[in-house]
Amino acid sequence: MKKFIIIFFIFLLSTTVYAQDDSTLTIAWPVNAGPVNPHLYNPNQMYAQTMVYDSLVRYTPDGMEAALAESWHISDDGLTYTFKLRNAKFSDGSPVTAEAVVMNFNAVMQNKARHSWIALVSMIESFSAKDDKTFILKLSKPYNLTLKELSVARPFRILAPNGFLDNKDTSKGIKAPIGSGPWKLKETKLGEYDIFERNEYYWGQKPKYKYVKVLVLPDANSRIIALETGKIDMLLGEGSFTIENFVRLSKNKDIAAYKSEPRVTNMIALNTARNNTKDVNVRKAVMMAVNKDNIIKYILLNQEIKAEQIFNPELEYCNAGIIPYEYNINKANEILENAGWKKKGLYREKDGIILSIDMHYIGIDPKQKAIAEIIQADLMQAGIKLNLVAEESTIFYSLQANGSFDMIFNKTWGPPFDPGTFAGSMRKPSHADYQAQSGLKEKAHIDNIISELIISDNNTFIADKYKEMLNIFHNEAVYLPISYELDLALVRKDKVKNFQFGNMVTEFMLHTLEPYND
Amino acid sequence: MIKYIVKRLLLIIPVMLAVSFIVFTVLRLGPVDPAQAYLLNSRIPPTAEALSVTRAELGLDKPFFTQYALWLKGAVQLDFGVSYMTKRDAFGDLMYYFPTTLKVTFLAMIVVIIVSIPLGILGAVKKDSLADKLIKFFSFIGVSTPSFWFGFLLIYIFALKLNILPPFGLEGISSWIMPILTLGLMSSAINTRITRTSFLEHINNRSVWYLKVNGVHKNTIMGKYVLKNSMLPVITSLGMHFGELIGGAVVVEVLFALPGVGRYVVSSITNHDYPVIQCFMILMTGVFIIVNLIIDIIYVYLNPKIKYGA
Repeated sequence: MKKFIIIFFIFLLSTTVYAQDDSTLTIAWPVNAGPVNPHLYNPNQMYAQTMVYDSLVRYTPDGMEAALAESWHISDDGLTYTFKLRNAKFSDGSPVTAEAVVMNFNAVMQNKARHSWIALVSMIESFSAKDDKTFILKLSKPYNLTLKELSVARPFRILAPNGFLDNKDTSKGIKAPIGSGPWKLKETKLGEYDIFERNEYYWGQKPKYKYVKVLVLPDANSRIIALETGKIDMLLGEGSFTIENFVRLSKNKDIAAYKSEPRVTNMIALNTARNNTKDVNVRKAVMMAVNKDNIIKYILLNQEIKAEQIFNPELEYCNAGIIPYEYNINKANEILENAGWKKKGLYREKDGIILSIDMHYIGIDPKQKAIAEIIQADLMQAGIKLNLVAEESTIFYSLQANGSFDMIFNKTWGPPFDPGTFAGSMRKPSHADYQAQSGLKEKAHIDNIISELIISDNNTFIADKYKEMLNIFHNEAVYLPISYELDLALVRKDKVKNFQFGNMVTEFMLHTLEPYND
Repeated sequence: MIKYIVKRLLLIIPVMLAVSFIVFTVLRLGPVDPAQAYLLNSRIPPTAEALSVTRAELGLDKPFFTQYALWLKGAVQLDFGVSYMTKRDAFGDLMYYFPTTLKVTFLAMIVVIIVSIPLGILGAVKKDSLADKLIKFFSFIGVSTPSFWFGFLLIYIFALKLNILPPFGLEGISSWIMPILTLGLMSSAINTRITRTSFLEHINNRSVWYLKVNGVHKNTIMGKYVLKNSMLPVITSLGMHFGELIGGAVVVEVLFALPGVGRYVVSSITNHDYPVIQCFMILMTGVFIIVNLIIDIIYVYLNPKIKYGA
């Protein structure tokens, strides 16, 4: 019996306990960081890719800044980019060279189709190392979003030559995640945690913490409890917690709640090529019948900002001087009445057809569901029957891609993709925006505008083209903008100081944080 | 008996084959394209080019029967393919996560046995007493309490308010307490009721009266005759609870952040990760067949009158 009890306790104790001290920052994420391959997607987590690897340049809202390249030059014809690399080292101590950058671009371009979502990939004509520290990138046509697209989390981040497999094909995997960023991946325990260690060779401001331990906590409530009980020091990143918990914990004296500048626009796309939303009068009535103030106040708890156009006017080129559709239910009814939609009972009809619209949302997304229900109640006041259709997430995105929707939730991609790269994607049929705009007589013109503005180097011309495009969207009532979403973070005041947001949703500035008691 | 066991073990092969084909087919009948699910998970807009590359990479561009044949060929060598999402060996990952699930299930099962059998017997022996009423109340509450809610309640009290137990993770013995209580509550409640009913049935049997009349000691009657006979339905129920506990482990694994197979499989289902789902279904089929076989063998031990294959 005694023997059994001893075995039983050994069995219980057979679990790893990780010692933690002040030099360890502990955060949580729903899944493991993955192998942290800089050129691939899932299961590689973007926050980890930006921690471990550098890009040539870094995006900031005020313009691009130096990263692995300390300077760059763009030729007059906009086709040749010359990057001067800084004297940096990878985390294994090997030097960052132009040849290493070439190896990385080779690996990315070998798998071009995989990266087709990023327009730059289709414009790269050649690249070479002029000398040890000079990397030259040549494009087939000018593309003014080149630097921004080079700065994103993937695929253009730089892996050390020692991290490549012998076949140099990173789509088949990597030997080790060796980068030049502030951190290196030290240890991974599947389903439990990842540990990152300070990269002592980092060229920039060295992290104050020696380690970052990222606990794998898939459940949002568990993450919040972990923060409240002090098991983790900080929570950030999209979907890490609900707005309700953010509001609740912002009243907690031990926790500091941070909000970033607006990041992405949440909106609803109206299909101009399908059913009743083909009618511009119906679309305009929808714009006026929805009381966005209620959505912001009761669903988004005033943690997001009311949106009036698809791109935040604060973004470069996006102040198009648009006069928003104000909430006015009488005006909405008047427009529909004049357009021949006559009220019969609760809803309107025209030529025997009920004014009914299908709106799709992701069934497990409580925020979308609540917003959809408010819109449904508002539209009923204008005699519009809104049918809410809950969808499984993959099916939801299939509907976006094939245009099988009347109204559907949609959002922009955030910095550095807005407005340029996102606008560029509107030309691809696999995007909800393309489908939503496809019924407009100006669709071909819109696509031309976008194609012109992304290759121009004339700021006035670009601003004019954005203005023209945004005014078409507004006048044709293609989008019902709802809110400008912010990044939120919850940080334990007693553990961490110097918190700041990154410039991209996926950029966690963990290297700038300091332990509170230091 | 040996012949019967061998026969049952051989039956595993056709059952597994049938299950594998059904699972393989049913997964592909759905409207979801796993290549698209992968791209969306990677936060990549699913362009036509990216979809075609991903389909080829996941082997989804081949005809259905070719896909099945290739999978089956690998599966017989325990190569169930690579997870679409984690890009790791599906079987290897399941084997990595299984011990935690088995550990939490096994510990919860011990709790179920330790709690339900004594309480059930006590309730039966002290029928209609205060103790019996309290036991009935416990059973009623236990059956009606959703395990995720009970788990949150435990976390709220013991981790958040009292701060005496870790809210999640694997940090030694204390971190197992809340998960096993959460997992074991409902099965304990059900099994207490079953034990009590079964015990009462046998306690009032004519054979027990006969033993009493013949002067056999009360403890001998209870221990040797009533207990042994009343355990048959309890054992059946425990067998069923084993499956229920493995299923219920998903809730505690998510809630208490335990690296178990349930959590892994649920996320695979959400992500339409076919290789993992297929591998899990095959493994679970095997586990259930073997557990049922063990239960059948225990029956024979408890009641030698039962004869299989006669």
